[in-house]
Amino acid sequence: MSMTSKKNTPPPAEDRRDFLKRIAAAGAIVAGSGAAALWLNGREVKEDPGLPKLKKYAVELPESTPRMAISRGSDARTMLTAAIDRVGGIHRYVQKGDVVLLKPNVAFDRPPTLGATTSPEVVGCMVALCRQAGADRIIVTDNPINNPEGSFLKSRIRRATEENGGEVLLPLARHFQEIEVGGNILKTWEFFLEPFLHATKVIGLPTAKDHNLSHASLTMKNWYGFLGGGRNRFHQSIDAVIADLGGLITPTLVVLDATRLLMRNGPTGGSPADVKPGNTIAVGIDQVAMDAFGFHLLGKDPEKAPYLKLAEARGLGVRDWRSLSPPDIQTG
Amino acid sequence: MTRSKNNPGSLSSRIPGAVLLMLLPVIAVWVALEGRNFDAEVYGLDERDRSVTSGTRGPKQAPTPQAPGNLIPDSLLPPLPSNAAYRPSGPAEHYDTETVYEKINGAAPEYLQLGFRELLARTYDPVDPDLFGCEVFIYDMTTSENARKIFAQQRSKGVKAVNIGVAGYRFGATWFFHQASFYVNVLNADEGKEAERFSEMLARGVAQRIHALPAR
Repeated sequence: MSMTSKKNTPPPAEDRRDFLKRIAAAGAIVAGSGAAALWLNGREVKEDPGLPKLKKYAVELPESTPRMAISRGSDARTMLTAAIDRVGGIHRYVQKGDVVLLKPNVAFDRPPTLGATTSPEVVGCMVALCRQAGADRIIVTDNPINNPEGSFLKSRIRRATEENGGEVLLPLARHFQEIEVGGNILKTWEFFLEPFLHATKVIGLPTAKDHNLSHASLTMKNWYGFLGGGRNRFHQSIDAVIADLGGLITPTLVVLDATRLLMRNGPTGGSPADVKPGNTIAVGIDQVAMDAFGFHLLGKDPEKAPYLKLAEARGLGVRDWRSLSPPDIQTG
Repeated sequence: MTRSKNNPGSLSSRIPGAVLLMLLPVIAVWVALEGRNFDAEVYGLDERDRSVTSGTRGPKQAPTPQAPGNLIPDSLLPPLPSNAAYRPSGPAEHYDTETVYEKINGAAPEYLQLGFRELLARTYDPVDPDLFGCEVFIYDMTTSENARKIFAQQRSKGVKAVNIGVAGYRFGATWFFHQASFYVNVLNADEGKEAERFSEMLARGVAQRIHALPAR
């Protein structure tokens, strides 16, 4: 058959069916793609369901047990023991076989007398108490701003830990893993997860100090030390991030070391003239109340701390620490 | 029988084909418009496009080594006598506006607001292991006025003024002063004559070397 004669001849039924099948298939693909695009368009981006989440480390407390206690004096061990006894005793929080994660503030390679880091005396006493309670391991760790080895050495926290039967865990790159924070601003972040993989109890052990951005660095700000690199990028929204961290970590107990108070030029400090004796230790489970009390010790107004309002609004505790009627013990 | 390549087909077959061809540019325009809202995080393609609230950065970066572009010369730090009570623990470290957080973290914004340009820091370890050590921080605040402001802002209460730089004070073995565009801290929490002597030697040595710098 010639080309010219073909022009005027309708295609056979077989070819027409084949052509219509192809058209239908192409149309289905286009329509299907369009429908899929419309279905996907505007859908919320869901968090990776595979990201790990932190568990809660709080223990059940009887209604009659105070949620906070304050101890004043000159001897760290006496103060700490007295305060913990008033909130149920160490055996309420740490049992035989526990792996306890202690998180002091070891952010800088500064001597303890400068008040930028938790007092080694308080760290040592807390390690000893956990050991007495039968803990299997006591891991003391932080992710310092300065060199970790130098920070644990100069703060004397390494020595205090090891002399009392604890172990220091220095952060390594492989210890960090992205986790689901689930906060208002902090959704996911690289986190110092390694110690949490072993811990059955978590105890915060911050020092009480001034902070250039958040007015004070106390129990909730102390959790910053578990964040991975680049955390300085949060300085613009530090209050929201602190509240997020308060929501992320539900500790077994928090111990506020106010044996020394860095009153000015925090968080780094540098001058012994900015440090004054605090002679106080507070323990409890209400981080908001503990922080409000810390503001009081530092002579600051907690009303000026947006993060405390945010944390209270999220149900993490109460700013009116006096409403908890904490026992206030003078140990001599 | 096979259809010829040049056969345009009937009208009923050409119309759907034309409709499909017209749909292609519409799809292309739609894809282009949607592409403007591209979110790399959805696909995990490029960390640089990730938002601040969802990061995967690792642990903190190592301190910045000295680079040829540093503004503060290491020669501002005086050489030590052989019998000094402290020894340098390593080379001087330099931090700029991007990296200063790695050294002083939350204190950095206060400096940045006042014209901070560069920090030279050096740590000295004690010969006596019971002592803590000494650190020198030399902040270049761009102008002498900025250096005066940060000095005044951070000045501790109840400290003793000393004759060094434009103005200075000390507390124990810790010295603070400002001179030219520099704000200098010699931090030493150790007690005793050795510590005081070492800090004074360091502070006065830095002051002399700043004085000898050519005007900038």
